[in-house]
Amino acid sequence: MVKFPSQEWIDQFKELVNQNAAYEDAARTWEGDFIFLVLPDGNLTAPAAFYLDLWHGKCRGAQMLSSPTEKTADFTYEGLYSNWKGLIAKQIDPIKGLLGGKFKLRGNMMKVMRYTRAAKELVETATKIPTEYA
Amino acid sequence: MWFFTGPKLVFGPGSVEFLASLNAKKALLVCDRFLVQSGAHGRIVEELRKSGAEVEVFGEVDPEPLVSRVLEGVAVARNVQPDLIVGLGGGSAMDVTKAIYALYERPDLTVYELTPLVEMTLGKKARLIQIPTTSGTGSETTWATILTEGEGGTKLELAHRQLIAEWAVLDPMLPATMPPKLTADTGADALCHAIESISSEWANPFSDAFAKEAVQLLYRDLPRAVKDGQDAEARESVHYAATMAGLSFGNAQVGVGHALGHALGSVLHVPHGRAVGTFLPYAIEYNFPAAKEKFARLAPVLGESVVRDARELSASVRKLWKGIGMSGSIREIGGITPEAFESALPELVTRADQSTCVTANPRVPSSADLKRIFQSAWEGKPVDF
Repeated sequence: MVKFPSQEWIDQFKELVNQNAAYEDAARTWEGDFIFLVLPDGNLTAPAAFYLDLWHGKCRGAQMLSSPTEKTADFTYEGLYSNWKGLIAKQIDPIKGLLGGKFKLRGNMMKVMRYTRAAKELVETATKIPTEYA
Repeated sequence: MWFFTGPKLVFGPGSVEFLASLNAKKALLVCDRFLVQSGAHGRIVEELRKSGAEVEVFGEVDPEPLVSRVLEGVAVARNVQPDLIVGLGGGSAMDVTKAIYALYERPDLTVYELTPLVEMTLGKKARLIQIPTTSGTGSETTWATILTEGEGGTKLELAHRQLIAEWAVLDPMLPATMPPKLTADTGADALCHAIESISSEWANPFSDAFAKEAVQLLYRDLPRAVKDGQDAEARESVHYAATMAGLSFGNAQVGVGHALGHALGSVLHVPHGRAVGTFLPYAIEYNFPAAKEKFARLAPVLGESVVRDARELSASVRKLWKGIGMSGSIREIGGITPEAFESALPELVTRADQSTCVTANPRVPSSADLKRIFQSAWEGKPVDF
């Protein structure tokens, strides 16, 4: 089991993303980096942030940040820890989560909405990690 | 947690008289160009004037409206300063009206910011009313607006819940003059909305209820409305069915049939209803393995044996299409050579792949899947993968 959030978790995520042919197809023209921001609730007492460099269907880099402001990115996808757990468990759809207010996106929404299949594949990838929570 | 949103409805023959009760001071009527050319907008202007309003008309909306047309309308709105904005026409006119309304209310925004992630509360300057003159688009009920970036450009699929009209006026007298082909195309669009929303990942009990009723009415009455445009009962039924289908997909999303249709429309200039209608049987066949139980909800309407078999269900649509003159394949649409289709195929696939319409499709289509569906729909061969 891999703890979420942790560097180990995002390392596994990167590895699995790069093995996901469906993601590679869906994101083959995607250019843009992301910060995934996990806001504290429940047992998570401080925010956690991941930086992901996503480029043409591959994840070129993944890093757990020491603070949410350590890096900037084209997009930030943020939500409460409990909602991230729901997302990873496929109980929350990544786009429906945005429309329903469980997640917020900062960045070019028009661009993201052209890659909803890629977003689903990222979530699909996350579900494959044997995850344990704080 | 999810939502079900829509406008208040006023309906029935003569319901445009409702406009006279709105007590507006200045009204901006946004409508299709041909409505102005034919003078068909005159009745609406008359009713608005009865309310005491000064009426300005922006009658410049064409099919497949461009962003630039919206900006012209916004300039008119800023000059007129209306407290009532009325959209009159088919989907294009109502979509343009939504965008004009939003940018009039929020001059700090660009059209590209009309997305669900932008926080905005509209309605501070004007009320929004939508009046469909065709029976199919459902735009009078939804929070979506489809605009085209530039000639031949990508379709922008914009949306925000604040774009839902306060009232939709459903007067079945308005579509009574639609010619048979337009009646068929717009009615086909409505059936696509209903069937795609019922198979959507985001379908819910409320969207299903409207979808089922819409499917029932359209199967029963669309052929009558196409055959005899003066059949008032059929016209009224199809007009309301289109709004029901709009309420359904506006709260549950459409699917791959619309993604394919938007691509075909923007790349090869096929009218929207004809494009999505052509794809519906193929979309059903593609989605069926992932949405058997969702389609089964149509059993009370179409029969158990029909909805339990992909080929039976798509065949029932093809039979309906044949009766109203809808194309059975892209080739049958006409005006597209095999060479033009082959040449456009990569761009068609890219645009369908990047359409928001696949967001809640029950089966996630890869780019290879989309290419095969396009090829099946070109040849008129059922989707069997």
